[in-house]
Amino acid sequence: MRKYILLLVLSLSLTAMAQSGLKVSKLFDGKYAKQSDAVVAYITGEALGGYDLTLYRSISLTCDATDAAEIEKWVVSDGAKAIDKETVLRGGSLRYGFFVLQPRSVNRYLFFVGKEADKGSGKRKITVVYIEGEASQEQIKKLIK
Amino acid sequence: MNNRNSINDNLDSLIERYFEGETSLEEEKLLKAMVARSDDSRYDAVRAVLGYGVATRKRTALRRRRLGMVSAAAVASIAVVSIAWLNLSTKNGTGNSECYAVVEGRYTSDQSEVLSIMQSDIGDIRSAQEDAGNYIAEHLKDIHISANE
Repeated sequence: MRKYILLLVLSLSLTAMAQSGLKVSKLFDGKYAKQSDAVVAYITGEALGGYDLTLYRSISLTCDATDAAEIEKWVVSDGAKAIDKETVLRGGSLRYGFFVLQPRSVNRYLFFVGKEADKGSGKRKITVVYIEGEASQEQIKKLIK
Repeated sequence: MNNRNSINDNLDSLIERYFEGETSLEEEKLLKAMVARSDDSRYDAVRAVLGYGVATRKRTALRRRRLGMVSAAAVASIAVVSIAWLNLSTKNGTGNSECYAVVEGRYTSDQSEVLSIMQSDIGDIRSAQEDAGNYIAEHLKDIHISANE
């Protein structure tokens, strides 16, 4: 009987785990989200209904090269097993990334945008967006266009 | 004849211990086998009891197995319904619906402001995509020119 209760608990927690296990979760909940210039958005439910999405999380911030490199590392790590991806690197840094992650009861997508914040400042403006929902890759591409 | 008496003595002893609840499972199996082999009619009653005992044990084991399967099915059903309810409730917005942002330390749950942030993010992604597209096009152009020189 204990085995069956464990199975039930595991099944319930699977639903909550679609985004946990991703390194970018640290980005939305950790020190970067608390940065003074960070803009963090969290949307679920009705507001996303028209897009066939169930979860939208994003963070935009300006950071130095070290922090930018750490964030890039997390994104690249999460995107390593993506079933589809588009990436652009320039000068050794990730400029743009779109990753179609392995689905886990929902479709999951990850976006990364990194550009020079101010010329010569050495700082980068980073935007990371994580999306979940029934929307297909084509629908997501249409959303961006 | 002596051998036959000896076997019957052993059998009688085993039967006596069986009805006193002192036999092990191995001994019960042996008892059943001995009684089955014996053609002595005085063991007819014992044969009948042993047959019933076996049927009862089998029914109990079967009942336990069925209970286990029913429990597993019940747990699996609860899991499936729960997952479906959780997915449905977030999809249709009938469950927990959240919409908030933290903008440079300021919390807001104003939906239009939060959706405006989402649109701004999408705008950044679109620009980056276009830049990437232009960058690739430039490089392809360079490759084409180099190839034709």
